[in-house]
Amino acid sequence: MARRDEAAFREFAEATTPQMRRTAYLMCGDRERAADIVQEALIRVFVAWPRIDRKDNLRGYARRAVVSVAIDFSRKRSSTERVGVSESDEPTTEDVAARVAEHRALVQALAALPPRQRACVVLRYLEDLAVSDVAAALGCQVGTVKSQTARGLAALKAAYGADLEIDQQPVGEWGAR
Amino acid sequence: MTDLRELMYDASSAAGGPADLDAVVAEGQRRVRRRRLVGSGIAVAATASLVTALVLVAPRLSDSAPEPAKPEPVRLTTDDAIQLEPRVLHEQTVAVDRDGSTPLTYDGITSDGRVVLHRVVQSFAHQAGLLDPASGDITWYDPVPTRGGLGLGEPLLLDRTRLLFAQGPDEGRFFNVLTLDRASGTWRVTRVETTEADPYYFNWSPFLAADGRVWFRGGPNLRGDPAPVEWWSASTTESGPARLEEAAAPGLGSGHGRLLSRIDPNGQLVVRDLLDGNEWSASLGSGCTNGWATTAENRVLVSQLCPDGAQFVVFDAKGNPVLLISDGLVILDDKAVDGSVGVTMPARGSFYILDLEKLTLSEVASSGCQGHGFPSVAGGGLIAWCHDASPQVPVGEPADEVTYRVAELPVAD
Repeated sequence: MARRDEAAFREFAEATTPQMRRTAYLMCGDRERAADIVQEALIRVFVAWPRIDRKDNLRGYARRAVVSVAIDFSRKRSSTERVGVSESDEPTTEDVAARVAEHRALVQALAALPPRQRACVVLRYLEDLAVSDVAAALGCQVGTVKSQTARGLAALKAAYGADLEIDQQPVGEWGAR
Repeated sequence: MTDLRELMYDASSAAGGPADLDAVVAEGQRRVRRRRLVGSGIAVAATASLVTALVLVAPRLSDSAPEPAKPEPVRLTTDDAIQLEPRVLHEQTVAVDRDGSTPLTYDGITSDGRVVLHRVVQSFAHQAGLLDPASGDITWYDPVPTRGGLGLGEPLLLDRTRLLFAQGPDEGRFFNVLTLDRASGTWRVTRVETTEADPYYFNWSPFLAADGRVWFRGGPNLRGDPAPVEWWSASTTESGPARLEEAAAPGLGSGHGRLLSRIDPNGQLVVRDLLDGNEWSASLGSGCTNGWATTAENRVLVSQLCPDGAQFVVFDAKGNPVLLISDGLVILDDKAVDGSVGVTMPARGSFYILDLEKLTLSEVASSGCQGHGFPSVAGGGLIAWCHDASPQVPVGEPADEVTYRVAELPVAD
């Protein structure tokens, strides 16, 4: 890769890594593993950099790489491994404790979903992607995304409890927050 | 009530800091080098003078037919190359984008001597054209009727009536075969469905096989490791599912026309003739690594790094080694050129045509674009290449503008 290309890649990677980390973290439930997933995804983006359509596809490619690597990693992960928030998330006050408990519950509920259901839910509700964009990211039909998301949400609600409010029409862009 | 979206955002807010981009770039560069090594058939340049006896064990035919007499392979170096002076028919200078791409890309040459090129038009659609190098006129066709991000695809067949491209992956598990009817200017899209949704599953390398189907490569380990490999095929005219032809063959390989070749993990070259189903294998040189095989016409071309340096070997369809080039790095630029292949030897900064029937090497052009990633294409008695990059841009950097040339290949005696 030419130096100018490498500089552009670094600029892109620095800008998108935070969101990639978020997605990876909710996909795997472990901060260190999320860092590994993003590292591998960025390597794949780097390798494909000259071939990626700059105008509309960079972020989509990166997103697809994160999900693909996360699913790969989840297949390889030992069934004895446990998912949970890491030590640094331990509470220091009661409010924080309650929030961390909520986060832990969410992460564990997500971890219980099959990887592709989890990906559908994360891409729809963290990334705020439209159904068609999730389908493009996962390489599947729109109908599959709808059914996988519905199943994932139902399982999440069952695991998390009735207090979970779910907006059924999330639409947005990567990094729009 | 807790909103799921806010909860997800909060829960992921402590997901970590920046990535180690130095490590990403270093590993990415390593993989790019390895991919180039494998995908382009590069053998690393020799550092010492070499005239090495190639240890080639006689090929084993899969049936019990008696072995034919083994001819002694022709040995060549670049010093043996015949100097050719191609007559330049057309020259075109184009600007280069910041990312190294050009507004025009040369994709190949048809059997009747038209240069196939493409450009990006509105909504990122790709538009194919045919350049008549004699007049400089370009005939542009309707944009490719698939979504823009897919590009034009890999050329499968470029003849006087139609152009075939393999395009994909599309939505993970789909591929498209695009057919342009040159007379009517209409496109036909044949949609191929695979069972794999993972976009990394197929490493592609499509080619039009002797059975009239498009063959391509896939495999569970192509995301990272180079083996094993699967072969799939699909109709070029009827949309439908792809067919798994060969599951998990060990090693890397490629195909063209009637021959399918691969090198297995033990260093065995394994070749299957798709027309008669015969298979033969040959042991390559002892201690050789990074072997890569491809086929062109009825030849099998192997490049590999051996203890004494780089070797480039050509086998005939029955497994006899017929040609050995052993003085450096060889890159195959084109699968087949009317019975020849185009090869680049970057150490010499030149483009060569290797005649696979006469087993001769001709030096046809020096390239001022060496290292800038503009491959040469040849066919129909023509060669098109990036002649110059401006001005004195270091190798590896995108140039500001490049000049393409199209020339008529002299007919070698």
